[in-house]
Amino acid sequence: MKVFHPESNESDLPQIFLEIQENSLLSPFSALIKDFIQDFSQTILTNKAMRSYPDLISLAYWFRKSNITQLSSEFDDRNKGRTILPRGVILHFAPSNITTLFVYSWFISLLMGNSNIIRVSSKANITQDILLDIIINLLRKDEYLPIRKRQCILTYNYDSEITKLLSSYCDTRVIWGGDNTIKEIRKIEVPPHATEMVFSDKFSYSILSAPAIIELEKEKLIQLVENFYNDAYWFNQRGCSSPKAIVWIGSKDEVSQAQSVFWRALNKTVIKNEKHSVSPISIMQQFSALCFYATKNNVISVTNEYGFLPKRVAISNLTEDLKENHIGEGIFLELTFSSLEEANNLFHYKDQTLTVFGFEKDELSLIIKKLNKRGIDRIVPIGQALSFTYVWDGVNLMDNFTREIFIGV
Amino acid sequence: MNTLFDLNSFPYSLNRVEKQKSMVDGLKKLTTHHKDNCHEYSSIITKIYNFDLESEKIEDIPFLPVSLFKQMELKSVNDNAVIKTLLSSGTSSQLRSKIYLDSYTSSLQQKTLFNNIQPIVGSNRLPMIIIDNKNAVKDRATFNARGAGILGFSIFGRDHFYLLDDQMQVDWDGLSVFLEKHKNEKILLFGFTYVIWKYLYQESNNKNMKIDFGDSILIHGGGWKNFLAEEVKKSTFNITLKDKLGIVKIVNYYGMIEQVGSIFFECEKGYFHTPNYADLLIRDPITFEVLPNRVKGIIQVFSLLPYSYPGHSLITEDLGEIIGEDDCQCGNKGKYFNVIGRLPSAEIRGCSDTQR
Repeated sequence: MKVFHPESNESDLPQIFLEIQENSLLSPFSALIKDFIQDFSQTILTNKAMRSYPDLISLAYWFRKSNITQLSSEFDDRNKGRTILPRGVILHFAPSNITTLFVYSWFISLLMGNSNIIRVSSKANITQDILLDIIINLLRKDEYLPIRKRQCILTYNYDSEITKLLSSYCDTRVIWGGDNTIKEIRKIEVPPHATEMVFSDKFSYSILSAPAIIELEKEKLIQLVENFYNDAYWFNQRGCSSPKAIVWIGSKDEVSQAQSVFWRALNKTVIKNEKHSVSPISIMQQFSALCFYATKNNVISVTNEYGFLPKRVAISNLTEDLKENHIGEGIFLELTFSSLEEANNLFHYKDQTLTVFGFEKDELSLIIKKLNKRGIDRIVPIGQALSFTYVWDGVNLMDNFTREIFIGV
Repeated sequence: MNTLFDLNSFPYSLNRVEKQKSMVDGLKKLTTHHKDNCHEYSSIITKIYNFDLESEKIEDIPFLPVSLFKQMELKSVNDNAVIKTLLSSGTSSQLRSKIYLDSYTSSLQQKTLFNNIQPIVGSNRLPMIIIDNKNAVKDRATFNARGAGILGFSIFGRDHFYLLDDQMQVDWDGLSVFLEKHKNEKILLFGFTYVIWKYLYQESNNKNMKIDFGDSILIHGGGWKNFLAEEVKKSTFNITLKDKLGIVKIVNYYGMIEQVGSIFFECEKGYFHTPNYADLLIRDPITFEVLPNRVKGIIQVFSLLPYSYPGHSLITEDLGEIIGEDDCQCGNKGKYFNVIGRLPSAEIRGCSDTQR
């Protein structure tokens, strides 16, 4: 157990939580909160050392002034004539695979005027350390006292007694995956009036149009594979939005040609970027995963190139065990359909993001409308898999972190 | 296979020229056997490898990662032929390797261990102290690494005395009795490296007990892996035990539950040696290319023993280097090598931080 903010011991927690709970709430998009967030954003964006942390840059860039202004005006438009208030005390359980996610969750909640208790990952993590350092130092500034006394950041190895304590003070509990964590935490109650938001394990795909790839001129192809590389290789392909399977649309010949072009270009990009950063244990885990896949009947072939090059697993159909056993590490399941419509049957409630290339919006809208089972929360171009939006997994965070008061007078 | 399996001969008798062809032939036969009898193994080598039956090179024998045995049950015999299951160590929440032995493989394992240990302890059974507690060998049908090791080695001793009680504390009284009883005899001690250090040495150090085991041989293995946090060097371990416990001869071995028959004993020059029926390669951890002598990399182990399961050619998560072949100053033939340690461990997977 470590309490990062406010500086205290485990025994002080009930008192801290009580105070947070009893504090009045701030207002959505209040000037002070916007200042704090902009301060945070600028601290990172103006620091040259941060350039080695692209995920921190993305985060800071998302919370830049112009985006906050944009969010604020979207919020106003949406809520014209309505009375919207924060929910109260929000308890966040951060995921351990994508470090920066806890800040998105926290700051959007903060922007809505809520007070926050955040349990961050207990695993050693440089990026998290940097973020906590920046945020806690900011909180210490005199002008941010109202914000400072409404936040608590801690970590602990999962312990139901502590989870019980935290949960008893919240008005909303947010759990950012995975399925096992959600199951465990759900065993512990929240107060009857409280709501809960969960983000369970998800699987994501890229869908590529073979004819469109074949037609691409060299520069555009390189751009595409670099975007794909960012989508797939950031966070070691472990994000819910990271593409783990590639669906090719086209005739057999078109797909064969497109694959040849695509993989040749991607291999070059991977070599350029991964050469010095891949770890031996990663290669071993990857090899073990490939052996595991090879034993499955619906796996047709597995590339046997050694090293850090992407590994392709050609499959005849996509089954749950293939998805559940995907460990990231640069492994791509590949399958082919002759049309987008045929691919439709793949998706269900555990599937989240489709990153696409070579399709028109109406073609894609048609798929969504025809989805037989619940599934797919977002469709974005290749390169934006990991871009955060406040509508996530079908949940509008701004709506869910606030409540509406109906005034009938 | 016959020459290599002459279990009456000295285990380090064959040089490369004498050994290579028989080793490769034997491994190829095993590969074919497992391909024909283990569906999963067949799928792996068909879909991942370009299986070249013609190749005479040991590096072309397909290999499986040791971690695969944690994820899948791999066997090349019928279920009812399995007489013993070995489990790797690990807590119940972690996956453990499962190794299935039939009576043929199991008996081969015992015979080769006997052959392998002879140069160290001689042909007589020595009075034996097991530096562990009795509970490690409770279940006879399923053995974890500790149980299997203890049971395997205890065949070479007699009048066995388990040094640690149920709380893993030293039974000092029992030890006195044992040492008195075998006062002028040579004693064999066996234990796992971390157990010896953590329970025997630390306790004797804390209590300032001075013991003298007399004319004694200690065989220990199971890895320095558990020591990473404490960083006890091999030389420190040896000197300390000789000094504090009066143990005359200390022999380390390197082995793994996933490959029966691969027990590599340390020679008097401090190197591990490959016996006639096992072999070793070092590979680059990223590209898996074979590395030359004196270059550090991932250890791959070969054994002619695994018949009931496809474990004859495995790539480990251990780092090591081959020093040379056939020309070790100790006089033993075969490859001689160092084990450096484990690959730095894995990152977390998936979204959650839950109990692992």
